[in-house]
Amino acid sequence: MRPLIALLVFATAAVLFVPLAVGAENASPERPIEAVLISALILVVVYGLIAFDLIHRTLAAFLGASAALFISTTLGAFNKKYYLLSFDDAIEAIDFNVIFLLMGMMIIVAIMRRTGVFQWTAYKSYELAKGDLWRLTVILMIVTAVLSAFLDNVTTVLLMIPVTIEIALILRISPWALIFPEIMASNIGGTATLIGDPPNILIGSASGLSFNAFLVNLGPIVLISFLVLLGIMKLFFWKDYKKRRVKNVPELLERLKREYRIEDRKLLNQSLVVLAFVVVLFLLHDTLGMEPSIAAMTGAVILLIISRAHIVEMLEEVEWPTLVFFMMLFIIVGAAEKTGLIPAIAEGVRQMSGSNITLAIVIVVWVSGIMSAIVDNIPFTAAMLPVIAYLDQSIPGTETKVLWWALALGADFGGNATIIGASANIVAAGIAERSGYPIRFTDFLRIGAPVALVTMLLSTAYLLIRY
Amino acid sequence: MGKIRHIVVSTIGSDSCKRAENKGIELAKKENAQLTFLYIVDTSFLSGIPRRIHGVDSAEKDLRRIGRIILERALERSVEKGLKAETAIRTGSVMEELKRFLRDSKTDLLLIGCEKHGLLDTHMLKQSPTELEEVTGIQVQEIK
Repeated sequence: MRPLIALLVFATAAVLFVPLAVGAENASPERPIEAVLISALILVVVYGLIAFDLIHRTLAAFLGASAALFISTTLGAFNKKYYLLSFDDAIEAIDFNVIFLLMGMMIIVAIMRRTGVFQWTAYKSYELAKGDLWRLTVILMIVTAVLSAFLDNVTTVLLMIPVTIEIALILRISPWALIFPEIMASNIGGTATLIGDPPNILIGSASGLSFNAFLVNLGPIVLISFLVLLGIMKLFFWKDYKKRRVKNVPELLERLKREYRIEDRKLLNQSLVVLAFVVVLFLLHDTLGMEPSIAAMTGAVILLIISRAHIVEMLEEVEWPTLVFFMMLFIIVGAAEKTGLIPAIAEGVRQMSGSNITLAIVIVVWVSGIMSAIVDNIPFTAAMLPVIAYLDQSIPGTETKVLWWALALGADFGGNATIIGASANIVAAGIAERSGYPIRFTDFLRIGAPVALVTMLLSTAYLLIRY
Repeated sequence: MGKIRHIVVSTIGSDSCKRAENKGIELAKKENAQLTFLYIVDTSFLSGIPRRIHGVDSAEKDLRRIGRIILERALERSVEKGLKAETAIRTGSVMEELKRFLRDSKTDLLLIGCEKHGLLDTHMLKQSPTELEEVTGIQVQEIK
């Protein structure tokens, strides 16, 4: 497994350096090659540390950002060739719209989770399915996709998968037949909205594209991909689905009803009202011009007040390592942008595509998809933002923002290909293993890769036809 | 090897664990020994993500429920074969909890499932069974 990852990391570095070589002639006295190479080295080392899982991804990004600033203020103070970025540049590089949006949504999810609504929906799905396994799978997939579109995927999967496995074990069927469709649906569902997946949050903030724009432009292809996913899952697990109609439905329902009930109905109602309010604010982005982060923070503070949740306790629930990871990543990418590395990569991609929009779409979808299957799609997307922004300005025919959609579809759908492609995949595999149904790298690849391949093919066709 | 009085089968319900459960039942009947099926709720695989925000604490509860089902299945199998067994659930790291349980329950033999994955064997222990044997002084058998 390790040599494979090493190979993939090498490929990552190569992907970064080939366009760099193409655009090397862009080096100038303002953008010395030494600074470009240092920022490239920092980027590759941070990617390598994350891909190898050698240290926590937040620590890796912290290390990279600190190194960029340290080198700039020591070596760079004596010789401008080694100057990457100033402290002010670093602060400016951090996109606080992303940070505050994530923080606001984390608080809303943390409060909502306390109501037990996630597990309750899994139980309700079983009740609705009336013992029909295929119907149960479809309902669970729809529920997971919708939850993932509005809330974060890891929480959705972590709270839905154990109930699903419990149902499968009681029914004496392989949990794979239920959890694989759920994992894939989570990754596909999250693609539909600006807040569904971290890459989308990054893209939304960098491009200024609204919540509505995400829904209108990505919604159709997400729906098509979801329907195709249903077909693929049916092909893979048909034997399990047709095995039987479950006989002991009332008995199992009674057990699930006892175990998974709404813990706090009042809090659930409050959370749902606030979530709906936040979504309305997202939808009014074009009219009000309100940044999504303001909507999420407003929702979070309203929920904190009306639910009387303890602020210190709730802030402890915020996923600070992720927020710090994002901040440090912005600094690393900021350094790569300041030194001219990212403009050089962007120029390289433009030259490779020959300023041809069709070729550019294909390159962005497939490079993003393949990279997201191999490394964490957050750092990859963060590095691609300035590249896409450059291409968006320099390639004719990009007024429709098609390259941003290409990046979102590639980064999100590519995550379905491998077990390490998305955090939700790893979490689900861990729970499955402890339930007696381990999912190996190759098991996941066998089912996930065709899904990623088909959905990325569909995405490419969709983008080429529609734009 | 002296008389076996207490056999523990550490299980997560996988194929190899089911074989370990069957072997445990068979041996317990033969030796007229006490048999315990043990499930350890280990959420160390979630160490990379913050515990509270994503509900890792509730995942522990959920895994406990799953563990109970796995143990129920093991018990059913032993009853079918005419043996009355016991069950236990512990929470924590597999290796640490195993050591503690083996020490507290005066176990003579531990059976543990070991999946065969191509060239690799993987089992729940992060260390080799021999190390566990050395530390606890209890005989450990891997079932593939």
